[in-house]
Amino acid sequence: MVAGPSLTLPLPPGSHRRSIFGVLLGRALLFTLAALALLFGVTVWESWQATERSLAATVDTDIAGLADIYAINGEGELLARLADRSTMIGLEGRQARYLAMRPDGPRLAGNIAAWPDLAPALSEQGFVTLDDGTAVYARATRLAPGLNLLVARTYERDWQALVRMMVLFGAGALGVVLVTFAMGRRAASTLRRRVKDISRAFRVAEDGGRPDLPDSAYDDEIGELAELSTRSITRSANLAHTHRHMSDHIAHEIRTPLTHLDGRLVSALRTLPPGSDPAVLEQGRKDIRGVVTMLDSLLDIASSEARVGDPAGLIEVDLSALADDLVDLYAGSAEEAGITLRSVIEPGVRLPGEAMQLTRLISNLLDNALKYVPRGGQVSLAVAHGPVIEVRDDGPGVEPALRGTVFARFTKGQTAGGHSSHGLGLALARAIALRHGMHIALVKSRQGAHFVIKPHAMWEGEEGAA
Amino acid sequence: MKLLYIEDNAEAAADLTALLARQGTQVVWEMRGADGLRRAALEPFDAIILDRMLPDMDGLEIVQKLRDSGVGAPVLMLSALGRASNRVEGLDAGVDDYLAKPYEPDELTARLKALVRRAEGRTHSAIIIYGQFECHVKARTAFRRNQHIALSPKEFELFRYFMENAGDTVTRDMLLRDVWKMNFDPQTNVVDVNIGRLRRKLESGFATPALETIWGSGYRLTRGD
Repeated sequence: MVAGPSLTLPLPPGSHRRSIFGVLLGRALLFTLAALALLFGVTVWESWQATERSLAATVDTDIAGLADIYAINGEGELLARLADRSTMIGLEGRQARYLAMRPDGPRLAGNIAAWPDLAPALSEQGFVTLDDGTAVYARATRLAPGLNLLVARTYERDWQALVRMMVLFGAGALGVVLVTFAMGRRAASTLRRRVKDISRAFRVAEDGGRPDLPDSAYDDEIGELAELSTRSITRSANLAHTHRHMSDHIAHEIRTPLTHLDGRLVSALRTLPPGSDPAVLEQGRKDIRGVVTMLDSLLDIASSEARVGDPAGLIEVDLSALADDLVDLYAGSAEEAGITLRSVIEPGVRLPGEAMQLTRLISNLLDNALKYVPRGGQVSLAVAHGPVIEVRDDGPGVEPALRGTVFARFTKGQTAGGHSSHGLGLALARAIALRHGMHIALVKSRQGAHFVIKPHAMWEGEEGAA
Repeated sequence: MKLLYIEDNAEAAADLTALLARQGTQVVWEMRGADGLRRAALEPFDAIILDRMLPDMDGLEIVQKLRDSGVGAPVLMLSALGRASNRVEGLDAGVDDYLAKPYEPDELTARLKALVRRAEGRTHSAIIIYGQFECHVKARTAFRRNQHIALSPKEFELFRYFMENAGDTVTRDMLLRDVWKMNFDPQTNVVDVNIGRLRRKLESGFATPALETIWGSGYRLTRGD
């Protein structure tokens, strides 16, 4: 398993990502609406059930009273009472409706014109609509084999009360939803702004700018995140500044006296007496350049390593075109050295990177191969989508004792032509690969050296993974 | 030629002033960035040589201020910060050329000449002629004493660069930067080898050399006579 940063092009400011606060607000509103709808349904159903029970109780009580009257005083009294009660309206606003009939059809008394669809033999009850269009709750019963009685109550007032309750409940629920939405939206907007401030600060810092540090005055989780982010951004900025400051000053303080020394050697060469050998002075100048080159390489390695995972300064680079140019540049050197330089470069291989650094990475590997491969040998460069860069040769390869440290600073092998080097080329190649979210490895090959560079994820489970 | 040199180190300033004085160039030296800025605004100069790490100002800031105040003289940054990334920063900030210390005296003068020539707007026509050589820019063909020389595309770019800088020293760094677009030295002989191949083609069938090697700094196109 390879662990390492993967690089993508930086997101533009205000990029369109889905807001978690918007999603949470939407979900909260949906839940509120569902809960209110359920509560509304249960309340209406329960109220209607209570109304029905009340109507049934009223009707049953009335029937019981009338049955007593029939039992004690006979049919005549019952019919007289029905005529009296037909004009009464109860305190609850329900009008009483009655019908007394013979089972074979003749109507005896009451204020209902026709018998509804209720069976007196079964003592059926329920909501029915009378012939005159009035909606009632009624019960039919058989008081005697020759006498059927229907008792009913209108329930218009009950229905109106229920509708009023439904309207009030609905208005209240709508109010709750609107208030919840307004408060939620305000809270989501505030939270989104605070998190965006943190993201923006990181993005500006990544691009090398000076960010407005996020507000950490709030005593909550995002306030804590803002505080930690501020510390992290400030620390990173200080580290980057210190690193750069140190690198620049080291370079300045070493190069300046070397420049003076070089100037003195140039003066000495100019005033050298005729016949004198300038070789020592010229070697001195070469040595000065060697020290400068080594210093620059060390600082470049440190700089690349310090910027691993930092996408600032990376732009889309055409790796294929870059590799083609390098093959063109090195073709002559290879031919001169009697080495065959082959290339297999897939067109259109692109990656976010620093073109100069990537040029240096491939150039270092080609330099390395040309230095170690003897006349008659082969060097090949392959670039494929992934991106995958491979440089291999059929030279003597890396000595077994050096394989473990080949990418370490100052590791030097025995070159074919006795070329001198500081042993920093592969260390710099490794640092540049890391800077671009890739890993470089020396993989096993039957002959020569075989270097492979590809993104960390592509190394998973492979030989050479770090 | 009159140059302004902004440099805080007296020894470096004395070396450079002496070097350019031997070639007949007048150098005005300023030790502080602010003084250099004022001088550049008051007097005309053919070019400005600028150190990068000055005690009162960053050289990149000075370039910005020079450009903002309308000073158009080309700027060569001469700095102890010589890594590829430093050069890219300098060129991005608007300097016209960047040379790291320690430098080859010949390379400095070659670059100054190229800078001044570029700033004077001396453009080349479709055909550049120098001595026995002809460069047909549009047709991308090369001739020596009216004899066609077959060159690869990159060799033609090199030949054209030498023709555009005919008579002046062209350094390895200039070739890497302007022909191969590289801001670092690959540390191998790639430039020398490519020049060698061009030289062989330019000299094939002729008795006189086409390119001179200037030790330690670069090459110069001869007239071929």
